[in-house]
Amino acid sequence: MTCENVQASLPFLLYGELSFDEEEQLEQHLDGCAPCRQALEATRVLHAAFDRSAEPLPAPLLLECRRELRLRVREDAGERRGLNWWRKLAGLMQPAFLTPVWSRSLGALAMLVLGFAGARLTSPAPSRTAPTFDTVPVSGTRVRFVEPTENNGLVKITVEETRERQVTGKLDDARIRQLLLSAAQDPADPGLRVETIGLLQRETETAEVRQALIAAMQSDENAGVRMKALQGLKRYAAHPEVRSALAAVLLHDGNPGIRTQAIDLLVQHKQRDVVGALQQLMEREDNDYIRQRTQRLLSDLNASVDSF
Amino acid sequence: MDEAGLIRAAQAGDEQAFEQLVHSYDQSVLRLAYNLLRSQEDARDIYQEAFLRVHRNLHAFRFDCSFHTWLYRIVTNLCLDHLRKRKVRKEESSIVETAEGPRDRISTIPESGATGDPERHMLSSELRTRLNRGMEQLTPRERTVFEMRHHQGMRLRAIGEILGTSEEAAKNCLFRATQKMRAALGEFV
Repeated sequence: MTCENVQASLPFLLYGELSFDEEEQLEQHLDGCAPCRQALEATRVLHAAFDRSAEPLPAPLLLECRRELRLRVREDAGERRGLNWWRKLAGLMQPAFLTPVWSRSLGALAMLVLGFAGARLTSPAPSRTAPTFDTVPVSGTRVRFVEPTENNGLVKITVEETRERQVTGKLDDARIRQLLLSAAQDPADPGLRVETIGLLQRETETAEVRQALIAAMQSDENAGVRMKALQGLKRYAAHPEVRSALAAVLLHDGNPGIRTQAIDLLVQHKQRDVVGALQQLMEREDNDYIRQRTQRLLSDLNASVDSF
Repeated sequence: MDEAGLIRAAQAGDEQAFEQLVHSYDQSVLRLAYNLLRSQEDARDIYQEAFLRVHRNLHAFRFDCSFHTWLYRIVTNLCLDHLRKRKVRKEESSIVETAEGPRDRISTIPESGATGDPERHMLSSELRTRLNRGMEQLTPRERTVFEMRHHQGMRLRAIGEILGTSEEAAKNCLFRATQKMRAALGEFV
C-alpha cells in the first residue's frame, strides 16, 4: 500500500467505511509510517472542523412544521375524499352507452333530483329527529358505515368527523385545565406535551396539575418533557410528595442532566426524608457531580454515605 | 407497534399511526434539509412537501425497500432539485445583510463558549466562513452525500441506495467533497 493510497483512504477509515482487510492493511502501514500517522491526525482535525459546519435547528421550527403538516394532511385528505366522491358521481352519470343527447337529458334530471334533495336537506325541519349533515364533504370526515333503511329509499351513513375548533380561556378555568391535562399525556406528540407542561407550570397551585407534573417527570418517555415537568416543580422542592418523586427520579432516570437538576433541587431543603434514597444513589450513581452533591447533602444531614 | 405495523395502519387510513411514523423521522429530515439549504423557509417547504408526498403515496409503498430509504429518496430528490434551481438562479442565500454589511449566514450564528475570548471568537468565525465557502463549492450531489455521511451518520451503502447509485459512486462523491472542503479550509486545519 503506497502512502498516497493510504492518505486517500484516511477519511473512510474515520467514517468506518473500510472493509476489515482494508483496515488491517492500512493499520499496518500506519504503524511503520510517521508521515501517514501525521496525515491521519490532520484528517481527524479536519473532521472535527466539519462538525462545526452543521447548524443547530432553530428551536420552534420542528414544532411549527409538525403543526402545519397536521393541518395540511387533514386538508389534503378532505380534498381527496371530496374529489373521489365527485369522481364516483361523475362515473355513475356517464355510463358508456349514453349518447351526448341522453347524457344532457339525464344530467338535467339529475340536477333536478339533486335540487330537490338539496332543498330537503338544507330547509329547516324541526320535527325531524335524525341528524343530517350540513356540508359534503367535511374536511377530516370519514365514512365508517353505510346501510340502506327500509323507509323512503333513504341511506343511513355513519360519519366519523374530526373538527378543529379553538378554545380560549384562562388557566384557572377547570375546562381549560382539563384539556391541558389531557394534552400533557398525548402519547403521539412530545412537542405538544412540552408546550403543555410549560403552560401548566403557571398553575401549580392546583393539586391535579402538580400530580400531572410529577407523573410526567417520573414517567414521560421524552427527556425534554421530563425536564420541563421537573422545572415546573421547583417551587415545591420542600413538598414531601415532590421530594419523594425527585428522589425516585434520581434513582431511576437515565438522563444525567435530569438527575443533576433533581439533586440541585433536593439540596435546597436539607430534610432527612430522602436520606435512604440518597444512600442508595451513592451505590449506583456514576456521575461525579451528582455523587459530590449527594455526598455533601448526606454529610450536612449527619447521615452516613453507606446504606449498610 | 413496530414500524411495519405503523405503516400498515397508516396505509389503512389511521392518521395517528401516520403521525407517529412522521415523528420517528421528521427531526432528522428537517435537520438534513436545513443543513443543506441553510434556510428555515426552504427547510420548512421541503418538510411539508416530503411528508405530504409520503401521505399521498403511502398506499403504494410495498415494502420493497425500507421506509427510511423510501422517505429519504423523496427528501433528497426534493433537496437536490432545490439546490440545482438555486444554482441556476445564482442565488446564494448564505449571504445575509447585517448592520455591519453582508456576511455569511453561518458566521452570524453565535458560537457557544467562544464569546468570552475575542481571539477564539475571531478564529471560530473565520473557520465558519471558510466552512461555508467550502460547502458552496460542492455540487448538490456532493453536498448531499457529505451531509448524509458526516452529519446524519448514514452508511455509504445506504446513501447509494437512496440516491440510486452504487456505494462506490457515493464513496467517490464523498472523497471529492472532502478534498474540496479541505482545500477551502486551507491552513486552518
